[in-house]
Amino acid sequence: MTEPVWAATLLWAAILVYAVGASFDFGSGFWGWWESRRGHRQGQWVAERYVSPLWEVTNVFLVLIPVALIGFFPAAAYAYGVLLLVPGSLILILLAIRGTFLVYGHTSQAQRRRTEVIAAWTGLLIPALLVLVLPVSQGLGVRGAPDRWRLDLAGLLFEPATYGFLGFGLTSELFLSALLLADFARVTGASSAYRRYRRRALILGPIMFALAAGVWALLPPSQIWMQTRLLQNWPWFAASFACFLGVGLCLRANSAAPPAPPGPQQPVAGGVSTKSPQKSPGPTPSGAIQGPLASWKNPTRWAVILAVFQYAFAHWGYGRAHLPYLLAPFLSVDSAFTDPAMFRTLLVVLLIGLAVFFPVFVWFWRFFMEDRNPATPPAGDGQAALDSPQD
Amino acid sequence: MSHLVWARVLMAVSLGFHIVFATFGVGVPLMIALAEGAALFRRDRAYALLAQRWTRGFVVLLAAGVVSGTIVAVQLTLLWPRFMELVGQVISTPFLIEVFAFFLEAIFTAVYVYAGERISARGRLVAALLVTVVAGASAVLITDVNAFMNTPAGYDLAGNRLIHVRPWEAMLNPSFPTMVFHVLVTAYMTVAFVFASIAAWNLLSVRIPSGAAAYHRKAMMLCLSVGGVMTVLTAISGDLAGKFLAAHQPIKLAAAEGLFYTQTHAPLVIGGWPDPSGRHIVGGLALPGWLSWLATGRFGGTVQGLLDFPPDQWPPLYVHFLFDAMVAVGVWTLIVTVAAGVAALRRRKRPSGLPGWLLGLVVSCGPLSVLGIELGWVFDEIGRQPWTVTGLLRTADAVTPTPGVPWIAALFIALYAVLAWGTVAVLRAYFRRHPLVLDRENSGVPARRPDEELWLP
Ligand code: HDD
Ligand code: HEM
Ligand code: HEM
Repeated sequence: MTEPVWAATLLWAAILVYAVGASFDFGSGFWGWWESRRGHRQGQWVAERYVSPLWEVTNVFLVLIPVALIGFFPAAAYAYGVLLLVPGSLILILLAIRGTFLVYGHTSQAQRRRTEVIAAWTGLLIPALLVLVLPVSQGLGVRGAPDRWRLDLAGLLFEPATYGFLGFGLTSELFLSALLLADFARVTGASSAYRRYRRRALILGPIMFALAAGVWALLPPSQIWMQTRLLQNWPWFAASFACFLGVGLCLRANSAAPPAPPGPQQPVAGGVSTKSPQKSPGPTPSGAIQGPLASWKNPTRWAVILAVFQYAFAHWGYGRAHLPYLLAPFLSVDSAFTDPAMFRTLLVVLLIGLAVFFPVFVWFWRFFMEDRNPATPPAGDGQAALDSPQD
Repeated sequence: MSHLVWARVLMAVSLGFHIVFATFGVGVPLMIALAEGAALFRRDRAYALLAQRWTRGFVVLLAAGVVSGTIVAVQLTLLWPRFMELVGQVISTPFLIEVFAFFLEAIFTAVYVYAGERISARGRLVAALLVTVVAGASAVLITDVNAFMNTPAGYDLAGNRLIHVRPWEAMLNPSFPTMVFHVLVTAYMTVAFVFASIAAWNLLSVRIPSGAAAYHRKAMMLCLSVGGVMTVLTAISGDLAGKFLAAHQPIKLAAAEGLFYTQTHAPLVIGGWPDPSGRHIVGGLALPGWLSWLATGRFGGTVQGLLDFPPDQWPPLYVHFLFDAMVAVGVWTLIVTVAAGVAALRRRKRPSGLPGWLLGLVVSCGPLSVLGIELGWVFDEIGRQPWTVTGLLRTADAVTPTPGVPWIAALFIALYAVLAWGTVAVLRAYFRRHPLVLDRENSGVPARRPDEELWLP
């Protein structure tokens, strides 16, 4: 691989991490509100527990993406800066409202209700605006010539494919976060919330996949090159689809009954200790996933992991189809590449930074996420209070 | 107003908003660490309580700091795409390092704020010190980019293109050391004075229980000592910055001082009105020879005047007031701290503390320091005009060609109004509902509820 392609791969990785992290974060905000409006305190509690710790780390990834773009591909930073002035500014404003009101809500109870509504709406609007970058990066709505670019917003919004991207982005956000919240509910023993989140993931998954295919079909004639390239990369999408089916199977496997309320120090089936002390082995599934998987970890956890792989494969296939363009068909990774000396310096910084960051982060995660004080979910709706998990 | 003017206004408002919270982000961890240290080594629980209450405020301010920082980071690319394209080629290293500093800051802050009883008092002190170091690092790094804008380095020019890029040399550009020194100490000074102001304000309120008075007095004296040291360092670093300007950005110094003719024994004029057509400064208090001394260290030193440069490269001449006002803040805070120090020494025997009028003066120092930060930055940025990157990129060429900036500026200004209001309202509500409680058994021990939600700011 050439240096520009390496740089593009790093950028790709940052985008993947942000896309998944932001889906969890924004989607949880939405589900928290959804549950709270229906009086499902337990589901709301699960969602809230999840939005909070992730917010700032996700935000730093959001900062990392423009920083990487500026450092690796300055010419592309110029192009996107010019094109995205309006949508970018709107995203910033919504992000600011969301970030501050989440903190206000946690500091002062008076703001609680408003916070929920804001988290829900910004949780849908921000991803919708972010997703717009995809069609733009394929050249949809881009007018003018290099250095005299402008974004034809109206043109972009009249394009059916844009709505394909929007629908796909939003459903995948809600799908991913529902899946993650289901797993989280299971771990904390919030069984009624678990059932609801699991059902949502099952419903949203196929819709999302249909929309993903729809995006391909809706691409306008000017994008035939993209359609062809996507087809050429079919093995990656096939792998993605396989993971998707895996998600479905895992969820089915865990369907029979709500997870058993975790008892104190309940040993995990198979005796392999898991990281979370509160994990329940789950009900005995009737499906084929029994055996090694169930003895290692719960199928719902696997569903989450497979979903992340599903995205990674699809994202990789899409990225390959998109190459060599950063802004098709105007800017390629080669023409936008930074000075090679700059690239090597950034690479060194990145490696040192990750080497410092990872151990600290792992330590931090264990400190907070796995060794934290017992937390009791509120009782499920209408059902008896669960035992509080002990550790 | 034109497109360009709106873009500049929007950038100035965004940065002016962010810098307030950024300054707290840099300075509050230091104060918390000092309070934790005092609690630990003096075995005085009042300081532990102080650290805890400062931390509560810090979490809210941090949120506004993070979102406004995210805004400026992205907005630089949206409003000044040519600038960021150039940054990407030469000086993006500090930005990338800064991302890691942010990560670490988030993590250490969470550990300090939420680990509760799971770490010892010593562990908390270490965590607070780590936050201080990483927050200081993020300030150093971003200031480095600004230093590069003032005195770019680390590349060769081939026509319009940058070649032979040397990223480390760009990072260690000439104004980096003086600028970083000055920015850090002014941040510490500002936060110390803001906290001193709050304590003095509380001491001035009429019916204050005596236990609380002792608490506020301790807080105020701690803050005033830090503030005093930092003010002295501010003056020293400001002097170094002035000498640096004389050597590397003479036109900025000339504009700051309203000096038109290159001369030896140049006077330092305080106040007055620089008149470009008359080519002299109207009114003001002139101290003969002092500008030469400030700029070169000798009364006989030569200082370059504005007329050495083509007028289309002059910054707006009103930067003279900004500069004078900034220096005035430094002088004023120095006087007040010295007065407070003398009064405190003389009254050591009596517990009544400082006289009311002096407390009033202390109250003035906090807001004035924040003003000083703003003035200093606005001076620095406007003093660089018409350049965004001195000698390399003009502001007019850096700006985005995309229309719509006035609308966007209006939206952002409304946003900042909401955020400012929300932050103040939440802080007030929080401290009203959590008044100072001294008589509880565990008064000094930070009462972090174990079931408290994990909440990264
Ligand atoms: C509380 C805030 C504060 C106070 C009291 C002072 N400054 Fe300052 N000054 C700043 C806050 C600041 C700043 C915000 O931190 C700046 C803006 C950019 C920078 O590098 O620091 C600055 C810039 C700045 C510069 C321009 C550097 C440049 O553009 O490269 C000079 C020459 C001075 N200062 C000099 C002084 C002197 C002689 C002071 C007398 C005591 C002083 N400052 C007090
Ligand atoms: C010299 C002026 C500046 C100083 C001292 C400073 C310092 C800081 C500090 C200490 C924080 C941490 C948040 C807090 O504690 O409040 C912060 C946040 C941030 N700053 Fe600034 N900053 C400055 C200017 C800028 C500029 C010009 C940019 C844009 C390039 C920027 C980008 C950011 C970002 C992106 C964040 C949020 C980090 C996150 O997502 O966690 N800052 N700043
Ligand atoms: C945080 C404190 C800061 C404040 C209060 C501040 C203030 C300002 C002001 C008043 C302007 C408008 C100048 C004019 O056009 O007349 C400006 C412009 C600008 N600032 Fe700063 N600034 C700060 C820090 C920074 C930093 C750290 C950077 C670099 C990373 C930066 C980058 C810029 C850029 C690119 C512009 C637009 C181009 C220009 O006018 O030169 N600023 N800022």
